[in-house]
Amino acid sequence: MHGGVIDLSDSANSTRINESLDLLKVVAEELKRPLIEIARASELATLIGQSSLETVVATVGTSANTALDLIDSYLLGLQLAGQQQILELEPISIGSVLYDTAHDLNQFAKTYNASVQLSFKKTQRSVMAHGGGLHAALVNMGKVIIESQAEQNTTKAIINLGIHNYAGLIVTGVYSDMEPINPTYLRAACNLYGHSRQPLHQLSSSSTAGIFIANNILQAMSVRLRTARFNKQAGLAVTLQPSNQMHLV
Amino acid sequence: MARLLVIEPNTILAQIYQTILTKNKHKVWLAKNAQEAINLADKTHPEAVILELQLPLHNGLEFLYEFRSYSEWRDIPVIIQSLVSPNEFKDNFVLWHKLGIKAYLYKPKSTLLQLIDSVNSNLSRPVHNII
Repeated sequence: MHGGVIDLSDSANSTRINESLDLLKVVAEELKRPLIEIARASELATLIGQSSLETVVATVGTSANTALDLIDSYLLGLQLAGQQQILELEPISIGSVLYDTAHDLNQFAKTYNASVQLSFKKTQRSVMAHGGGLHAALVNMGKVIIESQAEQNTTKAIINLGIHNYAGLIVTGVYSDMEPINPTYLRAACNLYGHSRQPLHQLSSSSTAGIFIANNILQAMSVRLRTARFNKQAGLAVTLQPSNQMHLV
Repeated sequence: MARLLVIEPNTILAQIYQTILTKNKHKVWLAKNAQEAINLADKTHPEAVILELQLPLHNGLEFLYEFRSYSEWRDIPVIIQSLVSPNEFKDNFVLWHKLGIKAYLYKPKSTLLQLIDSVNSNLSRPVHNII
């Protein structure tokens, strides 16, 4: 405040810093998980020797990649949020983003006894988005859903990456046979992270940092994470503007 | 040596605990959430429980209330192995004591050897470590 006048830019900056700190807190909490996995897997190898080496190496690899992806996505979210005024969305092929997402989720899914499927027609329209940001958001959403399915089911989970049209817009997301998340509950969780150990405890035992990182990235693209249903499955999705430019090509 | 119920939602950690405890000649059942744990306890009659407090759906505290409400499980030793920090755990120490917690291990700081020690020393018939 200067002379009784509220400086909105200071207030907005302060809010942004607080949100960023909350997200950092939840990322730090989430990072403990892969690091504990690595530490205990290494200890196991020391204790029981060669017989477990192959499994341990695979575990260490998966856990280390999970930690690295989380850090990368967090940093990407910060970077995109910092560029928000000038973030340029461009026409991208949504199908190709989903192919890359499925590829990146595949190994992770195997660890959790799940499989990833693509579920869309080849002739999908393109959308206006930040390609790297959308990919990172979908990967993070996918990982949380895969982990949650592994925690709640004993059977092999099938995760679908899907696209459908809705009111002239394009909805893309990650779906499974999970219980649908209540939209109000998701909104509340997006305000709770950093203050609650398990903001989405109905979904996962973890801090579900991936969801909040995805939300942060999507917000930088001026779109929002939402709950959605697709082909009788429930999941998390984002609604995007179609690109007429690419459609003409 | 003993029948153990490990309640651990993290698939990778659950497998690690199962491997090391089995190497110590224990018979291990894994549950990922509270409901599955109650069902397994009913079938397997565990002699000790290793519990993560952070679970999906119903948390570890809810599990404990349910578990202790059955007379046959009232004295089964429960060992907490959790991401819940020592400070937060200490805040509820009286409650944990009342619920019959025999040991608390903070996951980021506790080793597999400490877990084996805790299990073996808290069984009604304590056993020596093999590893």
